[in-house]
Amino acid sequence: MRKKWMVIGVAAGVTVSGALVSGAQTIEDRLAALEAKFEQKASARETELLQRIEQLEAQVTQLSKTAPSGNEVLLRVDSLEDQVAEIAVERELDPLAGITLGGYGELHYNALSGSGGASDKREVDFHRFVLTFGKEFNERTRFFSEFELEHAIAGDGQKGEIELEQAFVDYDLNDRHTARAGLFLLPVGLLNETHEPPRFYGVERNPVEKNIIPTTWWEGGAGLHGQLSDTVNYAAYVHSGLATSADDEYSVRSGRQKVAKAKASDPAATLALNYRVPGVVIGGSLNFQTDVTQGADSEDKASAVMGEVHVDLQRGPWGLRALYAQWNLDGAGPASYGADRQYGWYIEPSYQITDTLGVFARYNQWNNLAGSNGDDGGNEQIDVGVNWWPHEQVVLKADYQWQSNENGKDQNGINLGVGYEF
Amino acid sequence: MNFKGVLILMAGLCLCGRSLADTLPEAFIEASLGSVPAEQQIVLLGEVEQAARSAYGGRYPASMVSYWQLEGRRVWILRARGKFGYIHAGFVVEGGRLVDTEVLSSKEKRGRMISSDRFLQQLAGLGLRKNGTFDRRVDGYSGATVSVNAMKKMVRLALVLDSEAARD
Repeated sequence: MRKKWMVIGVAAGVTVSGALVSGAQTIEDRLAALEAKFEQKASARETELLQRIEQLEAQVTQLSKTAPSGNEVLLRVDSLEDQVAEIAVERELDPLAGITLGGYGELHYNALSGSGGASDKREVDFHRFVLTFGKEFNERTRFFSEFELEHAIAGDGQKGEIELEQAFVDYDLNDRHTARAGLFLLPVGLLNETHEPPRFYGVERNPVEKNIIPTTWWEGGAGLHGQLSDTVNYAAYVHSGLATSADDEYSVRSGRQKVAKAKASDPAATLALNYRVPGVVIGGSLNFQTDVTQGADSEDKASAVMGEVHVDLQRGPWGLRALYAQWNLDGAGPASYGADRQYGWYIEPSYQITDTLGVFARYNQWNNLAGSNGDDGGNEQIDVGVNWWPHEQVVLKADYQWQSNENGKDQNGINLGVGYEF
Repeated sequence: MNFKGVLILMAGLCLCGRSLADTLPEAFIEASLGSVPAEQQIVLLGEVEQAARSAYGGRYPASMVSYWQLEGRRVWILRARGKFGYIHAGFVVEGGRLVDTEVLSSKEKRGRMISSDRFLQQLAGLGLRKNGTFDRRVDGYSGATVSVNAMKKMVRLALVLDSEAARD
């Protein structure tokens, strides 16, 4: 009995162990098969990935060869712009070729107290709004114009006016001499040709050049301007004349006809010379009028001559401007009012505290009735003020004026302004 | 003066000046360097553009500027707007200082004087302070402020761009 159970046990053990051995081999085989399969798949995947990476690298290389850099893009844009510009000029397709646009303007606030019969003045005024247009026709020939709206609104019953202050054609004879014809500013004084607000001190233009020169003064005519040497320039024009009258006490300022259907029976001429070196301008001008009444005084011609000298010095922060101008009018009419002699002068020292801030003082004296029969006695004005340039083409101004006029009618007070040019 | 006299005067004036031909940039470069080296360009981008804008007082009217270099001396051809279009000028810079200047073309009439030796001579030797201003005084011309300012801004730009090119 005992042996029987032992035989059964051995047989069972052999069977179980045999089964176990057989099962272990199958798992290993399967694991090995799985490993082989995984490696095969991984290898394929790796190969595929490498191929894709290589493809991408090739694409990147290709792109880097063909795609322009930032500099190349700019080069191409500049080159294309140049080509387009050249083609446009060549084919005359560019309507803006040779056209220049500019302008300037100034807003004023005056807070003046009148005395001796003069009125108070509390006023804000967009005094001047100016646009300039130019056109270069070719290397020698160009046009320039200045179109101005004064006092903001023009028209019937309005206080402002629209004015054409310049419209002329220049023709270069050579690099030194230019012929000019049209409507132009006369080359007299310091402000008449250069009066953009950032270029002078004081809110209002100085009263001497305003009342004596008289700035702003333009006429229609023709002439020449240019350089006699590296330091001397000139201008010589024949042009329309003034037309003042007894109604205006022969004031030269009231004689400006502004080339608006202007009487032209008696022409005029202007000659100007200026010596210029850096920081120094010394010059003068002469104006000849064959009859400042344009025949209104029938008994005799009131011929006239205006002589003017000026200096403009700039040495570092220090500046000095000075001008003297005088009119001599012939004829009985002007003499009867004392307008046969009209003169004025000013001196204006200035100091630039910084590149953007400057201060000035100016003494002005003028008299439009300084002849022997004149009874006005003349005018005096002192100005002190400051200019601040937040940009070289923009200016804010403030000044205080004291008048001391012989007739006792004074306006004293503050002027504020903002101006620009471009 | 009669009409005949006017014609004689104008004919005389025509003979008293040179022709209108502008100076070619290549002629200025050759005169300044002795030859015309390969043209190089500086791109107005990033810090360079900011520095250029500050010196020029606004955006320079191109996205890159050409220069010619020989043994530490560079020639810059620049432009700035005057009253009657662009003023073109050439500037020679060496060691951070302006060596020579020439107005190559200009239509400015009131600003004719910027081409004069007297004006250009005072630019020679100019350098910039750290704040970007000139290290000595430059006097202008009353009545020619636009032209003088155009020249000044080009000089500042030439000096700034030259310092940028020297870094490369």
